[in-house]
Amino acid sequence: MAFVSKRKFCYFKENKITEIDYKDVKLLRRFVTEHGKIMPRRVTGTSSKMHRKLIRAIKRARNIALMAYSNVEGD
Amino acid sequence: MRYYETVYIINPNFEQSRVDSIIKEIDKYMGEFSKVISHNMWGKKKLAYQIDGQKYGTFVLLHFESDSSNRISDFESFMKLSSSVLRAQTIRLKSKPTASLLEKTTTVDLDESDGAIEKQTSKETKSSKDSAEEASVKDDDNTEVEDSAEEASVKDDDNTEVEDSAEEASVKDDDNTEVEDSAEEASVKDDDNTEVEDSAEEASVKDDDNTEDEVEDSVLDL
Repeated sequence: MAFVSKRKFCYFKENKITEIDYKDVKLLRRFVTEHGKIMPRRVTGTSSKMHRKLIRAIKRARNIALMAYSNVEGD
Repeated sequence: MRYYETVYIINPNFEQSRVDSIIKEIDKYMGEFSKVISHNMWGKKKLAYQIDGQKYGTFVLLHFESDSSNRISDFESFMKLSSSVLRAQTIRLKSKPTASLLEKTTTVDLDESDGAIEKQTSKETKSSKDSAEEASVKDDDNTEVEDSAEEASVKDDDNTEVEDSAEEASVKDDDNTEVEDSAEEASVKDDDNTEVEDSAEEASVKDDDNTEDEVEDSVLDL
């Protein structure tokens, strides 16, 4: 691995958040690129446990149309 | 007792009375095998993608508790088959939903009151969606970091550029070594050529010897 993670801290640990609600789209959007793709853990600096919970929440939000699967507009 | 949460989407064009009747119908269905904790309309929001050609949807939030987990799959298929519900999702909660979870609308798009004015909510949702799509400047540091993360772009982090160039440089160095290797190989090949030449020389020497022998034989024969 060439890079050290730019974010050295886990956002959830810093703010003492233990459970992630999939309805909280504003929080989830911080971990998603502008195209709607989920950012990898080495970029966001999240701990692995919270990253797994985060992925689950994002996929649930996508399922219920609170978040987009992809923001690239097709013709 | 197991606690469940269901979010489902109703056609946005229905009037409030029709939405209420749908809610009552589902309440009646639920009452047979579970106890409803809360069941109310969450608001009208813009969907992230079109469902059934609809861009907006009325979201309804339902919390219930039940012991008969085998009826849950029946409930899910009931929601799928019903014509008025566009999409539904049921998840299991780890613990009893607290009052704050029931009351608060966690997204920034909706105001706290459930009966929020539709125009306001739709405007807010539009603006939030635009900002998400454009990765705009508003939410300062985080989005910038996201951009740089995604593209390893020029904007903020010079380190990424340096590291990329370092990688490229290392790749180039490898190319140089390869070039050197090929040069070495070429030199080796040249040596092979010389060897070939040597053998040719040897062969020619041998030929000379042979002719000499023949000459001697012929002399002896005479």
